[in-house]
Amino acid sequence: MKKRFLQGFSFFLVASIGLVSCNDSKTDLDLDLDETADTTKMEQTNEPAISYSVPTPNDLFEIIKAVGGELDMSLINSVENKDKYVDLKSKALNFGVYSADLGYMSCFDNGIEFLKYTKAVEDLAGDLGISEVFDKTLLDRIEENEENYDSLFNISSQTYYESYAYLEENKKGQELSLIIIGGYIESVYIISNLIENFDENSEIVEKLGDQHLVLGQIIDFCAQYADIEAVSEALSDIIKLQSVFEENMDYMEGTNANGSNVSNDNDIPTFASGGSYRMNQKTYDAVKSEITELRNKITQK
Amino acid sequence: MRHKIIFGIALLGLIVLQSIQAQQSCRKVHEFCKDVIPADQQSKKWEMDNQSKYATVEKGKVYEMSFIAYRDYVYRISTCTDVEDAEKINFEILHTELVRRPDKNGNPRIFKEKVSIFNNKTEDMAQFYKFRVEKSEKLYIKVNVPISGKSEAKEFKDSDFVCVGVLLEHSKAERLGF
Repeated sequence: MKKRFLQGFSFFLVASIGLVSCNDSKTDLDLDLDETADTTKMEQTNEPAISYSVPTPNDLFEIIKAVGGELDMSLINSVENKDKYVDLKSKALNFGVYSADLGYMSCFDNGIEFLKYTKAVEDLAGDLGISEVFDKTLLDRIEENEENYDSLFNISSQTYYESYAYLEENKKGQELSLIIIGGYIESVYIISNLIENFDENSEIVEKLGDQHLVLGQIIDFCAQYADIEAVSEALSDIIKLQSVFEENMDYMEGTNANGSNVSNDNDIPTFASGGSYRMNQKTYDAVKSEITELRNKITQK
Repeated sequence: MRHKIIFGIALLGLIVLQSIQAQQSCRKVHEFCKDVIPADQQSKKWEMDNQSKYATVEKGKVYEMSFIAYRDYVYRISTCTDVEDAEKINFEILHTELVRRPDKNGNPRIFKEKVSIFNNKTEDMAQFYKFRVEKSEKLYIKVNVPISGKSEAKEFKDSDFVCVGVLLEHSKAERLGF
Protein backbone atom coordinates (compact mmCIF):
# COMPACT_ATOMS: atom_id res chain seq x y z
CA MET A 1 0.00 0.00 0.00
CA LYS A 2 2.81 2.30 0.95
CA LYS A 3 4.52 1.52 -2.35
CA ARG A 4 1.39 2.34 -4.29
CA PHE A 5 0.88 5.53 -2.39
CA LEU A 6 4.44 6.54 -3.13
CA GLN A 7 3.91 5.66 -6.78
CA GLY A 8 0.79 7.82 -6.89
CA PHE A 9 2.42 10.60 -4.99
CA SER A 10 5.56 10.56 -7.09
CA PHE A 11 3.45 10.68 -10.24
CA PHE A 12 1.63 13.66 -8.83
CA LEU A 13 4.89 15.30 -7.88
CA VAL A 14 6.28 14.85 -11.37
CA ALA A 15 3.06 16.16 -12.83
CA SER A 16 3.15 19.12 -10.49
CA ILE A 17 6.46 20.34 -11.72
CA GLY A 18 5.19 20.22 -15.23
CA LEU A 19 7.27 17.38 -16.56
CA VAL A 20 4.25 15.30 -17.44
CA SER A 21 2.25 16.77 -20.22
CA CYS A 22 0.52 14.26 -22.37
CA ASN A 23 2.00 10.94 -21.42
CA ASP A 24 -0.27 8.04 -20.82
CA SER A 25 -1.11 6.92 -17.31
CA LYS A 26 1.01 4.18 -15.84
CA THR A 27 -1.04 1.56 -14.11
CA ASP A 28 0.49 -1.11 -11.98
CA LEU A 29 -1.51 -4.29 -12.16
CA ASP A 30 0.08 -6.16 -9.28
CA LEU A 31 2.16 -8.00 -11.80
CA ASP A 32 5.75 -7.84 -12.79
CA LEU A 33 4.96 -5.30 -15.41
CA ASP A 34 7.01 -3.26 -17.71
CA GLU A 35 5.51 -0.68 -19.99
CA THR A 36 7.37 -0.21 -23.16
CA ALA A 37 6.98 2.21 -25.96
CA ASP A 38 4.26 1.75 -28.51
CA THR A 39 4.99 -1.37 -30.52
CA THR A 40 2.72 -0.64 -33.45
CA LYS A 41 4.14 0.13 -36.83
CA MET A 42 2.41 3.32 -37.92
CA GLU A 43 4.54 5.34 -40.28
CA GLN A 44 5.56 8.27 -38.17
CA THR A 45 8.64 10.19 -37.31
CA ASN A 46 7.68 11.57 -33.91
CA GLU A 47 5.52 10.06 -31.20
CA PRO A 48 2.40 12.22 -31.25
CA ALA A 49 0.98 13.98 -28.24
CA ILE A 50 -2.20 12.27 -27.12
CA SER A 51 -5.47 14.09 -26.89
CA TYR A 52 -7.60 12.74 -24.05
CA SER A 53 -11.35 12.39 -24.32
CA VAL A 54 -13.37 11.97 -21.17
CA PRO A 55 -16.90 10.50 -21.12
CA THR A 56 -19.42 12.98 -19.77
CA PRO A 57 -21.63 12.32 -16.72
CA ASN A 58 -24.55 12.16 -19.16
CA ASP A 59 -22.98 9.18 -20.92
CA LEU A 60 -22.74 7.40 -17.60
CA PHE A 61 -26.28 8.22 -16.45
CA GLU A 62 -27.69 7.02 -19.76
CA ILE A 63 -26.12 3.61 -19.13
CA ILE A 64 -27.13 3.60 -15.46
CA LYS A 65 -30.73 4.23 -16.44
CA ALA A 66 -30.61 1.39 -18.98
CA VAL A 67 -29.40 -1.05 -16.32
CA GLY A 68 -32.05 -0.15 -13.77
CA GLY A 69 -30.75 2.92 -11.94
CA GLU A 70 -33.27 5.32 -10.46
CA LEU A 71 -33.63 8.98 -9.61
CA ASP A 72 -32.93 9.99 -6.03
CA MET A 73 -33.20 13.74 -5.66
CA SER A 74 -31.62 13.61 -2.21
CA LEU A 75 -28.31 12.80 -3.90
CA ILE A 76 -27.97 16.00 -5.92
CA ASN A 77 -26.25 19.10 -4.60
CA SER A 78 -28.72 21.70 -3.37
CA VAL A 79 -28.83 24.76 -5.58
CA GLU A 80 -28.96 26.80 -2.37
CA ASN A 81 -25.28 25.98 -1.87
CA LYS A 82 -24.29 28.00 -4.93
CA ASP A 83 -23.58 31.16 -2.95
CA LYS A 84 -20.93 29.32 -0.93
CA TYR A 85 -18.76 29.05 -4.02
CA VAL A 86 -16.80 32.26 -4.11
CA ASP A 87 -13.39 31.44 -5.57
CA LEU A 88 -12.58 30.18 -9.06
CA LYS A 89 -11.70 26.69 -7.88
CA SER A 90 -14.97 26.05 -6.07
CA LYS A 91 -17.00 27.72 -8.83
CA ALA A 92 -15.42 25.51 -11.51
CA LEU A 93 -15.70 22.33 -9.45
CA ASN A 94 -19.35 23.02 -8.72
CA PHE A 95 -20.07 24.00 -12.31
CA GLY A 96 -19.11 20.37 -12.96
CA VAL A 97 -21.19 19.15 -10.01
CA TYR A 98 -24.35 20.99 -11.08
CA SER A 99 -23.83 19.98 -14.73
CA ALA A 100 -23.74 16.34 -13.63
CA ASP A 101 -26.89 16.93 -11.56
CA LEU A 102 -28.59 18.37 -14.64
CA GLY A 103 -27.63 15.29 -16.63
CA TYR A 104 -28.92 13.01 -13.87
CA MET A 105 -32.23 14.82 -13.49
CA SER A 106 -32.94 15.05 -17.20
CA CYS A 107 -31.90 11.45 -17.83
CA PHE A 108 -34.39 10.31 -15.20
CA ASP A 109 -37.20 12.51 -16.46
CA ASN A 110 -37.23 15.22 -13.84
CA GLY A 111 -37.71 18.58 -15.52
CA ILE A 112 -39.08 20.42 -12.49
CA GLU A 113 -35.75 21.53 -11.09
CA PHE A 114 -34.01 21.67 -14.44
CA LEU A 115 -34.49 25.36 -15.11
CA LYS A 116 -33.37 26.31 -11.60
CA TYR A 117 -30.20 24.28 -11.93
CA THR A 118 -29.50 25.58 -15.41
CA LYS A 119 -29.69 29.12 -14.06
CA ALA A 120 -27.22 28.17 -11.33
CA VAL A 121 -24.86 26.71 -13.91
CA GLU A 122 -25.28 29.78 -16.10
CA ASP A 123 -24.40 32.06 -13.16
CA LEU A 124 -21.27 30.07 -12.46
CA ALA A 125 -20.43 30.10 -16.17
CA GLY A 126 -20.60 33.90 -16.12
CA ASP A 127 -18.15 33.98 -13.22
CA LEU A 128 -15.85 31.59 -15.05
CA GLY A 129 -15.92 33.64 -18.25
CA ILE A 130 -17.68 31.03 -20.32
CA SER A 131 -21.13 32.58 -20.56
CA GLU A 132 -20.82 32.58 -24.37
CA VAL A 133 -21.65 28.89 -24.25
CA PHE A 134 -25.11 29.77 -22.99
CA ASP A 135 -26.79 31.36 -25.94
CA LYS A 136 -29.72 33.69 -25.32
CA THR A 137 -32.25 31.11 -26.40
CA LEU A 138 -31.11 28.36 -24.03
CA LEU A 139 -33.43 29.17 -21.13
CA ASP A 140 -36.31 29.68 -23.57
CA ARG A 141 -35.63 26.27 -25.09
CA ILE A 142 -35.66 24.71 -21.62
CA GLU A 143 -38.97 26.35 -20.71
CA GLU A 144 -40.46 25.17 -23.98
CA ASN A 145 -39.27 21.60 -23.35
CA GLU A 146 -39.98 21.33 -19.64
CA GLU A 147 -41.96 18.12 -20.17
CA ASN A 148 -39.84 16.79 -23.00
CA TYR A 149 -37.19 14.89 -21.12
CA ASP A 150 -35.31 13.69 -24.18
CA SER A 151 -34.84 17.29 -25.26
CA LEU A 152 -33.76 18.36 -21.77
CA PHE A 153 -31.24 15.54 -21.69
CA ASN A 154 -29.93 16.57 -25.09
CA ILE A 155 -29.75 20.21 -23.98
CA SER A 156 -27.74 19.31 -20.87
CA SER A 157 -25.48 17.03 -22.87
CA GLN A 158 -24.96 19.67 -25.55
CA THR A 159 -24.27 22.39 -22.97
CA TYR A 160 -21.65 20.25 -21.25
CA TYR A 161 -19.98 19.46 -24.58
CA GLU A 162 -20.06 23.10 -25.72
CA SER A 163 -18.55 24.23 -22.40
CA TYR A 164 -15.81 21.62 -22.76
CA ALA A 165 -15.04 22.64 -26.35
CA TYR A 166 -15.09 26.36 -25.57
CA LEU A 167 -12.70 25.96 -22.64
CA GLU A 168 -10.38 23.72 -24.61
CA GLU A 169 -10.30 26.08 -27.59
CA ASN A 170 -9.65 29.08 -25.39
CA LYS A 171 -6.88 27.38 -23.45
CA LYS A 172 -8.74 27.55 -20.15
CA GLY A 173 -7.17 24.34 -18.92
CA GLN A 174 -7.56 25.19 -15.26
CA GLU A 175 -11.31 25.73 -15.45
CA LEU A 176 -11.79 22.73 -17.73
CA SER A 177 -9.82 20.39 -15.45
CA LEU A 178 -11.77 21.47 -12.39
CA ILE A 179 -15.12 21.19 -14.16
CA ILE A 180 -14.30 17.66 -15.34
CA ILE A 181 -13.18 16.65 -11.84
CA GLY A 182 -16.32 18.16 -10.27
CA GLY A 183 -18.59 16.38 -12.76
CA TYR A 184 -16.79 13.10 -12.21
CA ILE A 185 -16.96 13.29 -8.41
CA GLU A 186 -20.69 14.08 -8.49
CA SER A 187 -21.57 11.30 -10.93
CA VAL A 188 -19.54 8.67 -9.04
CA TYR A 189 -21.06 9.91 -5.77
CA ILE A 190 -24.55 9.48 -7.21
CA ILE A 191 -24.07 5.99 -8.64
CA SER A 192 -22.22 4.69 -5.59
CA ASN A 193 -25.19 5.78 -3.49
CA LEU A 194 -27.70 4.17 -5.85
CA ILE A 195 -26.26 0.81 -4.85
CA GLU A 196 -28.16 -0.25 -1.73
CA ASN A 197 -26.67 -3.70 -1.30
CA PHE A 198 -23.42 -4.73 -2.92
CA ASP A 199 -23.80 -7.46 -5.52
CA GLU A 200 -20.76 -8.22 -7.65
CA ASN A 201 -23.03 -9.20 -10.53
CA SER A 202 -24.95 -5.94 -10.47
CA GLU A 203 -24.51 -3.91 -13.65
CA ILE A 204 -24.48 -0.66 -11.68
CA VAL A 205 -21.62 -2.06 -9.60
CA GLU A 206 -19.83 -2.94 -12.82
CA LYS A 207 -20.32 0.62 -14.09
CA LEU A 208 -18.94 1.97 -10.84
CA GLY A 209 -15.88 -0.21 -11.40
CA ASP A 210 -15.54 1.12 -14.96
CA GLN A 211 -15.15 4.59 -13.50
CA HIS A 212 -11.56 3.82 -12.56
CA LEU A 213 -10.83 3.82 -16.31
CA VAL A 214 -12.50 7.21 -16.67
CA LEU A 215 -10.56 8.45 -13.67
CA GLY A 216 -7.28 7.41 -15.26
CA GLN A 217 -8.22 9.37 -18.35
CA ILE A 218 -9.11 12.44 -16.26
CA ILE A 219 -5.81 12.24 -14.38
CA ASP A 220 -3.90 12.09 -17.67
CA PHE A 221 -5.81 15.06 -19.01
CA CYS A 222 -5.50 17.20 -15.88
CA ALA A 223 -1.80 16.41 -15.43
CA GLN A 224 -1.21 18.81 -18.32
CA TYR A 225 -2.30 21.61 -16.00
CA ALA A 226 -0.79 20.30 -12.78
CA ASP A 227 1.47 23.33 -12.45
CA ILE A 228 -1.64 25.33 -11.53
CA GLU A 229 -2.20 25.15 -7.79
CA ALA A 230 -5.97 24.65 -7.85
CA VAL A 231 -5.63 21.82 -10.37
CA SER A 232 -2.78 20.14 -8.50
CA GLU A 233 -4.83 20.17 -5.29
CA ALA A 234 -7.84 18.63 -6.99
CA LEU A 235 -5.56 16.15 -8.77
CA SER A 236 -4.05 14.93 -5.53
CA ASP A 237 -7.59 14.19 -4.30
CA ILE A 238 -8.53 12.12 -7.33
CA ILE A 239 -5.17 10.35 -7.46
CA LYS A 240 -5.96 9.19 -3.94
CA LEU A 241 -9.32 7.91 -5.18
CA GLN A 242 -7.57 6.11 -8.04
CA SER A 243 -5.32 4.33 -5.58
CA VAL A 244 -8.42 3.28 -3.61
CA PHE A 245 -9.77 1.63 -6.77
CA GLU A 246 -6.49 0.03 -7.76
CA GLU A 247 -5.48 -1.23 -4.34
CA ASN A 248 -8.73 -3.05 -3.84
CA MET A 249 -10.12 -4.22 -7.19
CA ASP A 250 -9.57 -7.77 -8.37
CA TYR A 251 -7.67 -8.19 -11.61
CA MET A 252 -9.20 -10.73 -13.98
CA GLU A 253 -7.26 -12.14 -16.89
CA GLY A 254 -9.15 -11.67 -20.15
CA THR A 255 -10.26 -14.29 -22.60
CA ASN A 256 -7.46 -13.19 -24.89
CA ALA A 257 -4.69 -13.47 -22.36
CA ASN A 258 -2.53 -14.94 -25.07
CA GLY A 259 -3.05 -12.21 -27.62
CA SER A 260 -5.56 -9.99 -29.36
CA ASN A 261 -8.86 -11.61 -30.09
CA VAL A 262 -11.89 -10.62 -32.08
CA SER A 263 -15.24 -12.31 -32.11
CA ASN A 264 -18.35 -11.26 -33.94
CA ASP A 265 -21.66 -10.33 -32.39
CA ASN A 266 -24.28 -9.81 -35.09
CA ASP A 267 -21.50 -9.00 -37.56
CA ILE A 268 -20.06 -6.42 -35.18
CA PRO A 269 -16.42 -7.18 -34.33
CA THR A 270 -16.07 -7.48 -30.56
CA PHE A 271 -12.67 -6.92 -29.04
CA ALA A 272 -11.63 -8.79 -25.96
CA SER A 273 -9.42 -6.97 -23.55
CA GLY A 274 -6.28 -8.53 -22.16
CA GLY A 275 -7.72 -8.27 -18.68
CA SER A 276 -9.92 -6.12 -16.52
CA TYR A 277 -10.56 -5.01 -12.98
CA ARG A 278 -13.56 -6.21 -11.06
CA MET A 279 -15.31 -4.65 -8.10
CA ASN A 280 -15.66 -6.40 -4.76
CA GLN A 281 -17.30 -5.46 -1.47
CA LYS A 282 -14.10 -4.01 -0.04
CA THR A 283 -13.55 -1.78 -3.06
CA TYR A 284 -17.13 -0.64 -3.07
CA ASP A 285 -17.02 0.33 0.60
CA ALA A 286 -13.70 2.11 0.22
CA VAL A 287 -14.72 3.97 -2.95
CA LYS A 288 -18.06 5.02 -1.50
CA SER A 289 -16.40 6.34 1.62
CA GLU A 290 -13.70 8.21 -0.31
CA ILE A 291 -16.05 9.68 -2.90
CA THR A 292 -18.48 10.86 -0.19
CA GLU A 293 -15.64 12.63 1.58
CA LEU A 294 -14.48 14.23 -1.66
CA ARG A 295 -17.98 15.26 -2.65
CA ASN A 296 -18.65 16.84 0.74
CA LYS A 297 -15.35 18.66 0.50
CA ILE A 298 -15.99 20.23 -2.90
CA THR A 299 -19.65 21.06 -2.34
CA GLN A 300 -18.81 22.38 1.14
CA LYS A 301 -21.68 20.41 2.57
CA MET B 1 15.62 46.77 -23.54
CA ARG B 2 12.10 47.98 -22.79
CA HIS B 3 11.24 47.83 -26.47
CA LYS B 4 12.52 44.28 -26.67
CA ILE B 5 10.31 43.23 -23.74
CA ILE B 6 7.26 44.88 -25.30
CA PHE B 7 8.07 43.25 -28.64
CA GLY B 8 8.49 39.88 -26.90
CA ILE B 9 5.15 40.17 -25.11
CA ALA B 10 3.42 41.25 -28.33
CA LEU B 11 4.96 38.33 -30.22
CA LEU B 12 3.92 35.89 -27.53
CA GLY B 13 0.39 37.33 -27.56
CA LEU B 14 0.25 36.95 -31.31
CA ILE B 15 1.36 33.33 -31.16
CA VAL B 16 -1.24 32.54 -28.48
CA LEU B 17 -3.93 34.35 -30.47
CA GLN B 18 -3.02 32.48 -33.64
CA SER B 19 -3.08 29.20 -31.76
CA ILE B 20 -6.55 29.93 -30.38
CA GLN B 21 -7.81 31.06 -33.78
CA ALA B 22 -6.38 27.96 -35.40
CA GLN B 23 -8.16 25.71 -32.93
CA GLN B 24 -11.41 27.62 -33.33
CA SER B 25 -11.24 27.44 -37.10
CA CYS B 26 -11.38 23.66 -36.82
CA ARG B 27 -14.43 23.84 -34.57
CA LYS B 28 -16.74 20.88 -35.00
CA VAL B 29 -14.89 19.54 -38.03
CA HIS B 30 -15.76 16.08 -36.71
CA GLU B 31 -19.39 16.72 -37.60
CA PHE B 32 -18.40 16.63 -41.26
CA CYS B 33 -17.20 13.05 -40.79
CA LYS B 34 -20.86 12.08 -41.11
CA ASP B 35 -20.42 12.65 -44.82
CA VAL B 36 -18.28 9.52 -45.13
CA ILE B 37 -21.10 7.34 -43.83
CA PRO B 38 -23.49 6.00 -46.48
CA ALA B 39 -27.05 7.38 -46.31
CA ASP B 40 -28.50 3.94 -45.59
CA GLN B 41 -26.47 3.73 -42.39
CA GLN B 42 -27.30 7.15 -41.01
CA SER B 43 -30.05 5.94 -38.73
CA LYS B 44 -31.19 7.81 -35.64
CA LYS B 45 -30.03 4.99 -33.39
CA TRP B 46 -26.52 6.41 -33.66
CA GLU B 47 -25.90 9.19 -31.16
CA MET B 48 -22.88 11.43 -31.20
CA ASP B 49 -20.54 10.46 -28.39
CA ASN B 50 -19.21 13.42 -26.47
CA GLN B 51 -15.72 11.99 -26.69
CA SER B 52 -15.55 13.01 -30.36
CA LYS B 53 -12.63 15.32 -31.08
CA TYR B 54 -11.38 17.90 -33.53
CA ALA B 55 -7.90 19.34 -33.71
CA THR B 56 -5.43 21.36 -35.72
CA VAL B 57 -2.63 19.10 -36.91
CA GLU B 58 0.46 19.58 -39.02
CA LYS B 59 0.33 17.90 -42.42
CA GLY B 60 2.02 14.50 -42.49
CA LYS B 61 1.86 14.05 -38.71
CA VAL B 62 -0.10 11.51 -36.72
CA TYR B 63 -2.97 12.70 -34.56
CA GLU B 64 -3.62 10.44 -31.58
CA MET B 65 -6.50 10.48 -29.15
CA SER B 66 -7.70 8.12 -26.46
CA PHE B 67 -11.18 7.49 -25.16
CA ILE B 68 -13.12 5.13 -22.92
CA ALA B 69 -15.28 2.55 -24.66
CA TYR B 70 -18.09 1.15 -22.52
CA ARG B 71 -19.14 -2.45 -23.12
CA ASP B 72 -22.75 -1.26 -23.21
CA TYR B 73 -22.41 0.40 -26.60
CA VAL B 74 -21.62 -0.41 -30.19
CA TYR B 75 -19.26 2.30 -31.43
CA ARG B 76 -18.88 3.76 -34.88
CA ILE B 77 -15.70 5.71 -35.57
CA SER B 78 -15.28 7.93 -38.61
CA THR B 79 -12.41 10.23 -39.42
CA CYS B 80 -12.10 13.20 -41.72
CA THR B 81 -10.01 16.27 -42.50
CA ASP B 82 -10.87 19.54 -44.15
CA VAL B 83 -8.26 18.97 -46.85
CA GLU B 84 -9.69 19.64 -50.29
CA ASP B 85 -9.70 16.51 -52.46
CA ALA B 86 -8.03 14.55 -49.68
CA GLU B 87 -7.23 10.95 -50.32
CA LYS B 88 -8.75 8.49 -47.93
CA ILE B 89 -7.23 8.79 -44.48
CA ASN B 90 -5.43 5.97 -42.72
CA PHE B 91 -6.56 5.40 -39.17
CA GLU B 92 -5.90 2.75 -36.61
CA ILE B 93 -7.52 1.63 -33.33
CA LEU B 94 -5.36 0.27 -30.53
CA HIS B 95 -5.74 -1.00 -27.01
CA THR B 96 -3.35 -2.16 -24.32
CA GLU B 97 -2.59 -5.78 -23.65
CA LEU B 98 -0.39 -7.71 -21.32
CA VAL B 99 2.20 -9.45 -23.43
CA ARG B 100 4.47 -12.16 -22.08
CA ARG B 101 7.95 -12.14 -23.56
CA PRO B 102 11.56 -12.16 -22.44
CA ASP B 103 13.18 -8.90 -21.42
CA LYS B 104 16.62 -7.72 -22.59
CA ASN B 105 18.28 -10.19 -20.27
CA GLY B 106 16.16 -13.10 -21.45
CA ASN B 107 14.08 -13.26 -18.28
CA PRO B 108 10.35 -13.90 -18.77
CA ARG B 109 8.39 -10.70 -18.13
CA ILE B 110 4.94 -9.31 -18.68
CA PHE B 111 4.81 -6.10 -20.65
CA LYS B 112 1.88 -3.76 -21.02
CA GLU B 113 1.83 -2.69 -24.63
CA LYS B 114 -0.35 -0.90 -27.10
CA VAL B 115 -1.55 -3.35 -29.72
CA SER B 116 -3.38 -2.55 -32.95
CA ILE B 117 -6.86 -4.04 -33.13
CA PHE B 118 -7.95 -2.45 -36.38
CA ASN B 119 -6.25 -0.65 -39.24
CA ASN B 120 -8.40 0.59 -42.10
CA LYS B 121 -5.63 -0.37 -44.54
CA THR B 122 -6.98 -3.90 -44.16
CA GLU B 123 -10.44 -2.78 -45.26
CA ASP B 124 -9.66 -0.77 -48.36
CA MET B 125 -9.18 2.42 -46.32
CA ALA B 126 -12.80 2.36 -45.13
CA GLN B 127 -13.50 5.74 -43.53
CA PHE B 128 -15.68 4.40 -40.77
CA TYR B 129 -15.68 1.33 -38.57
CA LYS B 130 -18.17 -0.30 -36.20
CA PHE B 131 -17.13 -2.41 -33.23
CA ARG B 132 -17.76 -3.14 -29.58
CA VAL B 133 -15.69 -4.26 -26.61
CA GLU B 134 -16.16 -7.28 -24.37
CA LYS B 135 -15.24 -5.24 -21.28
CA SER B 136 -15.11 -1.47 -20.91
CA GLU B 137 -11.62 -0.33 -21.76
CA LYS B 138 -9.42 2.53 -22.87
CA LEU B 139 -8.83 2.70 -26.61
CA TYR B 140 -6.55 4.80 -28.79
CA ILE B 141 -7.13 6.14 -32.27
CA LYS B 142 -4.29 7.22 -34.53
CA VAL B 143 -5.04 9.25 -37.62
CA ASN B 144 -2.39 9.77 -40.30
CA VAL B 145 -2.89 13.31 -41.52
CA PRO B 146 -2.37 13.70 -45.31
CA ILE B 147 1.03 15.09 -46.20
CA SER B 148 -0.26 17.32 -48.96
CA GLY B 149 -3.40 19.21 -49.91
CA LYS B 150 -4.86 22.50 -48.80
CA SER B 151 -7.06 23.05 -45.82
CA GLU B 152 -10.46 24.53 -46.52
CA ALA B 153 -10.09 26.76 -43.46
CA LYS B 154 -9.06 30.25 -44.58
CA GLU B 155 -6.67 30.57 -41.65
CA PHE B 156 -4.59 27.67 -42.91
CA LYS B 157 -4.25 28.80 -46.50
CA ASP B 158 -0.64 28.26 -47.52
CA SER B 159 0.18 26.85 -44.09
CA ASP B 160 1.33 23.45 -42.93
CA PHE B 161 -1.78 22.85 -40.85
CA VAL B 162 -5.14 21.22 -41.49
CA CYS B 163 -8.18 20.34 -39.43
CA VAL B 164 -8.77 16.76 -38.33
CA GLY B 165 -11.97 15.34 -36.92
CA VAL B 166 -12.70 12.05 -35.21
CA LEU B 167 -16.41 11.41 -34.89
CA LEU B 168 -17.42 8.85 -32.30
CA GLU B 169 -20.98 7.65 -32.29
CA HIS B 170 -22.61 4.99 -30.19
CA SER B 171 -25.78 2.96 -30.11
CA LYS B 172 -27.08 0.72 -27.37
CA ALA B 173 -25.76 -2.81 -27.62
CA GLU B 174 -27.38 -6.09 -26.73
CA ARG B 175 -25.93 -7.56 -23.56
CA LEU B 176 -23.09 -9.94 -24.33
CA GLY B 177 -23.38 -13.42 -22.92
CA PHE B 178 -20.16 -13.43 -20.93
